[in-house]
Amino acid sequence: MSVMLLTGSEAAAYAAKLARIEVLSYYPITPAFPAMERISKFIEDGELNTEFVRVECDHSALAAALGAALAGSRTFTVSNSQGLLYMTEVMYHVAGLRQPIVMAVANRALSAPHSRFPEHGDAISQDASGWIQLFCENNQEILDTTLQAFKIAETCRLPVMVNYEGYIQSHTQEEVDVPEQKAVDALIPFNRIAALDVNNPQGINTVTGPEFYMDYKYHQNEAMEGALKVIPQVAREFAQVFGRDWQGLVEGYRMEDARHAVVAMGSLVSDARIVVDALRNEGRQVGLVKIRSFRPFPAAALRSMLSAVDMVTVLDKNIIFGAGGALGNDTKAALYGYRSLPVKSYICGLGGRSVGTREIRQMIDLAENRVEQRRDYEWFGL
Amino acid sequence: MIKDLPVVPSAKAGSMAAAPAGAAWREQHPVIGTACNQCLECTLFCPEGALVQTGGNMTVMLSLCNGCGICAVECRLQAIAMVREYTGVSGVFPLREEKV
Repeated sequence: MSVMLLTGSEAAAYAAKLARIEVLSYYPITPAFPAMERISKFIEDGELNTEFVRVECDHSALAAALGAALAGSRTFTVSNSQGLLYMTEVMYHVAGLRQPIVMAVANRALSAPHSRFPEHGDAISQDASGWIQLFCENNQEILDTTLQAFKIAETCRLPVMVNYEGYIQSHTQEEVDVPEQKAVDALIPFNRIAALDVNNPQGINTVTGPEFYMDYKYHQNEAMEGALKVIPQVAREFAQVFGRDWQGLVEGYRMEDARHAVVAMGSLVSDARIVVDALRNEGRQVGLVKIRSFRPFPAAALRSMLSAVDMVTVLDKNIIFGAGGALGNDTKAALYGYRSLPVKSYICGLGGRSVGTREIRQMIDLAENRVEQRRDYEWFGL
Repeated sequence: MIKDLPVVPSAKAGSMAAAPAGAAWREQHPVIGTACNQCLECTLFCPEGALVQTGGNMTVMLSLCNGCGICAVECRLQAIAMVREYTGVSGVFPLREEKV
């Protein structure tokens, strides 16, 4: 193992290299592109035997990746925001055709108005697409999660998005422990199931009438529910080999005797840890629940984390217009009928508006000091 | 019952074309009962020519039948019953463990 100073994009690129990806299909977009640049350098230097497919748009990028995956190759792509929206049609194809493509997503705000800055809106727009979505809090987790993503994808036969925020993570350097190739090979051996077979030609994505379509969707959803078991299992296997335990679906931080739980995902988590430590030093019983798997949503695991708290504050770097924050809504839905406790939901940090330790602390104070929210969710930091 | 389907939605090329009036989209099909007196009235109304008299019996050619049900309406003896194509269990299926 060697410790390197890597950006989040580079961490994703190193993970793709360690996973020995065979096809990279990519169309450039900011801020995801440095991952592609780094991988193309690996290919150029002869360190990686990967077919780099150059395409004319994001839609084609994922379509080419889909073809490669159907042929049985380990396939990777990188995108975000407008690129992800442009890919949307193929996103559903990939998930419905159960292809284990891994995509690194450097989360960025959606147009209009045009923005290049970080938030989770792009990932949230794909919440019903059938992709497993994992969120990372730091660059080490980006590398580790991308490696795990290949194992999860190939076990569940589902595509996986590895989310990290643009710039905050994609362009910021951190110390990252890069594992040995041999150990990675042992953890994620190739598990190919080629749908395309020249000796047994089949029509892929055939027209499916009312008699079969719903059954296919049932099986697809069961695979997604099955991922709730596979994700923690892969995290445990990874921890046994590399000593870093990312806990799988959710992680409780200082939740032992917490009365007030903060629920967040992505880069907010690492800042929230610092805030929770500070509040604990002041004697306040605040804990943190990190959502690592947004899809499938770990409702049962979250409920057990929140089984003893008196209140919950959910931080969302996204807005579903007219409905609130995605994580806030899912948290309330998970608790409904099990526990009646106040859930405060805040929309924050959209389009790159800064949310650091000071702002997170303010939201926690606000949640504790105000009895009722003006709506089911409130905007913080306007 | 949940159907056992391939993980990747796929089938032999031409599967739909091979069964143009297959059960994949037909909602119902006629079943001719014992009250049939072979008057052949239904054959005049069937838009697909799916009803034929063979060997002294009325037969429904399911490869042609589109399930419209006109025959059942026109039969004066009400000898034709329309049967639902999908006869599996209806209702809510319990979630089960995905085999991985």
